Amino acid sequence: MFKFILNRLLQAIPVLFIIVAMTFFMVRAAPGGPFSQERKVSQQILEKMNEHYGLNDPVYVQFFNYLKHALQGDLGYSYKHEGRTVNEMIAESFPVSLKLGALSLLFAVGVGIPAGVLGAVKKNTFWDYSAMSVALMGICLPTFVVGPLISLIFGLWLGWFNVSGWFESGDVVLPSITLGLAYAAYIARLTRGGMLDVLNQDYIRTARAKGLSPSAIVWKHALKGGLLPVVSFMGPALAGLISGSFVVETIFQIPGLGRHFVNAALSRDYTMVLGTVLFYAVMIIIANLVVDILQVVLNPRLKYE
Amino acid sequence: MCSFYLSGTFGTTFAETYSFIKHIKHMFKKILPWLLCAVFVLGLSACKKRQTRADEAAAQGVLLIANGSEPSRLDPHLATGVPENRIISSLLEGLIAYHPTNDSLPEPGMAESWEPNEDSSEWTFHIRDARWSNGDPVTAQDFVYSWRRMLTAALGAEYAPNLFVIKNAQEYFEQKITDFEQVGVHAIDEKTLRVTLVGPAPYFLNMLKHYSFFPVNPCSVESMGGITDRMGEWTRPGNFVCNGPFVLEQWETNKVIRVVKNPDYWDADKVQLNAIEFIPIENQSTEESSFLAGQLHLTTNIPLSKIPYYLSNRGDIAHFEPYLGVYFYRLNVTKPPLDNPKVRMALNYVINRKLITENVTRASEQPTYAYTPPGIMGYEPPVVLSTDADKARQLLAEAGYPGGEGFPPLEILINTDEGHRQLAEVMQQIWSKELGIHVTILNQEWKVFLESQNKMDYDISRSGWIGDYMDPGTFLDMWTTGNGNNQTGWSNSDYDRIILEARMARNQQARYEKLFEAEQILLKELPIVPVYWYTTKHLMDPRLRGYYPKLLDNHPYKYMYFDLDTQQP
Repeated sequence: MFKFILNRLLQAIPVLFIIVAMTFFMVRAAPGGPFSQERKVSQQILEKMNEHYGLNDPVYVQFFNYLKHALQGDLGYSYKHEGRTVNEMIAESFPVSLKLGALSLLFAVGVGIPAGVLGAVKKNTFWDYSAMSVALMGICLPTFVVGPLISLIFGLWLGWFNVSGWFESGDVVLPSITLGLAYAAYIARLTRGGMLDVLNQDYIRTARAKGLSPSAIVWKHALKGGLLPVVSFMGPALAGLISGSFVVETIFQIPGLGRHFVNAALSRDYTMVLGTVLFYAVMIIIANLVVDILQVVLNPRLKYE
Repeated sequence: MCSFYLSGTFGTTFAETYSFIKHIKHMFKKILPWLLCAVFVLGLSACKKRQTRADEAAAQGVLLIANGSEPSRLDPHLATGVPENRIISSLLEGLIAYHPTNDSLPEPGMAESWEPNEDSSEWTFHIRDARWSNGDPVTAQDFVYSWRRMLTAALGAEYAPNLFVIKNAQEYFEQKITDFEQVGVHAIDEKTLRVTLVGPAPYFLNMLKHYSFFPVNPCSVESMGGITDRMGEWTRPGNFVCNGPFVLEQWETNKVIRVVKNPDYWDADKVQLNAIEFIPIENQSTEESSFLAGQLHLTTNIPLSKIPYYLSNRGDIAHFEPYLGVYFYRLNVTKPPLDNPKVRMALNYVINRKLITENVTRASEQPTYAYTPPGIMGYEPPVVLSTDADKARQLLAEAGYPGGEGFPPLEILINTDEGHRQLAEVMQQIWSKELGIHVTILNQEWKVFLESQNKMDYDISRSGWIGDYMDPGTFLDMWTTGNGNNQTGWSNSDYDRIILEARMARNQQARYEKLFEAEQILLKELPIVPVYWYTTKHLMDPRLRGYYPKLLDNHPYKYMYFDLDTQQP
């Protein structure tokens, strides 16, 4: 297992290098710069500002400077949030996105798995159809529809929760549900599929023949195998939840990393774009690795390769 | 139990009772969900009456303001945006402060009194007995230091050209002179500041309200990075030394910036609010629903689609007020057919601006008849633009395109925004229907759009301009030849000359006469299509008092307070 992890981590190095290089040159190729604005800045002032950030150097020099600093863990100063380092901004906002992502995942798993099991056990019944219809709706409805809708109902009309902000403990509820809904739906569908596969297998028939109770068969024996597709989905899901929360963070006014991620690209905040992309890349690589390890743990037929 | 079975009478009764209980049970099962629902709804209504954040805050004298996008910085010498201004003006105070009701009037700030010389080219300010939040007295030297910082080229302050009105300021900034002593700003003594300008500038007091002229505390800047350091940490909570009515307490990116009352402020007795929370909300619907849910007292905007509703139904909370800004289209005059003034006039005269403000923008905007917005005390822009479709068609025919025949297709460049698109579509329709011109619309992402406009890679480009201070010059200077903000390729030597003459005018009236003349030239040549003068759109808690409509949309917090007896909407 140690060799497997080491191997995967070594593979990550060229991947990260390519990601950084591509992002670096792509964001610089985008028209406009960090300091372009409606009220034009004189050339002289622009040069001084560029000088502060080393933007007057040739691009390849800037690239190698960036790499040098990044290797030491220094992601540079943000262009938009002047005087703040990218490290500081990520350290400040990532825990928020992580909390939101983790709660969404919890919601997705908590709702998705029971719904999927229900669908599989009561296959082709009213329960199955309704669970799967709701799941399909969850997949189809984008967060920018669900978000304002539930904030309207539970925030504005019922007054249970704040419609925006990240001040009170209750402020996590609506955004987590909004973000987790689509994932809950995916998980429900994957669980149902996985469970149906497993329920038809010989060892389940054996368990039935042994006279085990239906609930023991489902929850103890079938679920473990039935969840395999869900587990492999979990890596990308977690990555998606913590990186794809831009819309939800904007709708609910949450100070997370997702907002920085998109706003940085819009304001051509080069260092912030690079910093967030690099950070997310590392997170996704780690999430995938963890999922791969988990899969081997859950499925004895697999081996570390 | 057996005995019950044995007895016939009892048996019947039992069976009946049993079936009755069963029935009840069945009924209960049926009504249970409804019962739960009822409890739920009752619970809800109880919950709904809970005190909102806005109620709590109002009771504590804390103002909750939505503040658009997250401010980039709070350094007054580097800041450039409206959200930054809202916060900085609570923390720092310049020589002249914002007047509570009229932007054309000067209100004593750090300067207790002042006197200009005969032609307003030299001003003497007497600094009041005020203190910084670290206990230092505010001195004339602080202003000299601050303006030197602004004019130090290595800092790269974007608004440095604002200070070029001061004698030798531009020369110092461009490093033609290195001795700051030669720049026209001197501390005569600790409390007297003398400013010598490049020429007569009766509008100088209005300029001084802009944050680029604000003082910074020299000790705190020097101890954290120094004069040329853009990244200095002196603007962080705990470090920021203020001389304004509030001090910075908390700054959490994308969450909240909180300022609290400054007990050391010279006029602290007048300040009634205990704190202000600036909450960055980019999304307009979120801002609106947050306001309606009682999480804000004041918003920066009203969503486009909701404007008619608020305008006609919610006069109690919705405020639409004139703003010193103009919405217009730039015309690229460097290439045909827009190089022909007659074509540009035709495009202008065919538009019914009143129809546009009443049916498209709908937020009580004023249709333009000139370029400079009205309301600057003493300056009335010339009434030139009108709607005359026949005249427009005739002009187009004179330009060689009768009925739009042979007219090359034009493209309106907009940045991605629903409001801009709606207006562009209306313009497209008017020009095509009335003049027979084929017009297309191209939308670009903001930075791409800026790049295209800057490189003049457009035919017609959506634009807007907001005045920095109350003076027509802030609208008219930009159209001189080669000005970075011109971006139309238009150049007129008479215009340039008159603007220069206006700069040298010895008094306000003479200056405004010159600017009026310049504006007439601009509106005759029309390198632009002015459309409407902006309004600001706010939702405001009716309990908030001391807030007055202002052309520059700055509202000094010093005068604001809550009247808790006011009926809530």
